[in-house]
Amino acid sequence: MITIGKLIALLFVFLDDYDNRYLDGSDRCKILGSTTVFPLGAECAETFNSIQNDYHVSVAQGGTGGGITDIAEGRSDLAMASREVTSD
Amino acid sequence: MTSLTKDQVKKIYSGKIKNWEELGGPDEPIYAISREQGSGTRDTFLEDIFGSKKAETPGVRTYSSSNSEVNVAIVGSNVAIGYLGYSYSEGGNLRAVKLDNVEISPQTIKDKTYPLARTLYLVTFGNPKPGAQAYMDFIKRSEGQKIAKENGFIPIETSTIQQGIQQNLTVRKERKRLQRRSNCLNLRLDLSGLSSYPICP
Repeated sequence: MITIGKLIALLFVFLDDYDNRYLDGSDRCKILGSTTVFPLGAECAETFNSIQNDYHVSVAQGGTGGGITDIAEGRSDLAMASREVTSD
Repeated sequence: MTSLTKDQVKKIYSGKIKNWEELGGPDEPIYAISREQGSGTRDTFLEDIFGSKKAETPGVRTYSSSNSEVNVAIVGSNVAIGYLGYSYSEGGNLRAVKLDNVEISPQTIKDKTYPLARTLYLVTFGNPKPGAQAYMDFIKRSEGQKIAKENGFIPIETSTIQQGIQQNLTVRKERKRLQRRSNCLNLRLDLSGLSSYPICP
């Protein structure tokens, strides 16, 4: 008999894995950042996703600054940047 | 208006030139468009025109959140001026002015003779995950660079990729050296974990 505690544990494991895996089971790769780079990033992602099944790349716009913040805080895997990134 | 100098652009964005008539154009107020904070395009523009990405621009009439917004705003006005990525001008609706007498083109971007040319990057925090590495490898390969060219971006040369890799190695060695020093001296240093990979010149 599955208890409520085990159900909650399974739910958290499922949600954690859901965040890292796409619907077809491939590993997610999240990219966010520069609106300048976005047209290139998005079209490359579409082609990249169509030629292999190991990874699924998703690309979103949010500005260079937003992209850098996201990777530093672990919310995405790659940032698109339209300038050289410096410590300031 | 087919040509401006960097000094004229600086004066437009600092509010010292307010009317197109001052530049030989019609008697119309200039509608200068900039980008919001957080935009790498904005930072590049301010650094190249004003010498600092923290420069004040009191001549700006509106701040846009994306290249697309700037594009729409300029296309919808006959008195607007703005700056945006070269690939957004490829649709034919915008007219890029010469800057310091240099016409923008793939060649002048590649050899950096165009004053506002810049390199585009993908950035990781720490070592890239396998998926991120595979994606970056794809972009740097001929298939990715073919997509870049088709979308109005300038393909990158291997030497620039190698330079980017070498810079990252140099930065990592410097970070390790600083970390050892901070451990000895009990200092707290803010060490960035960022690595940048150029994808277009």
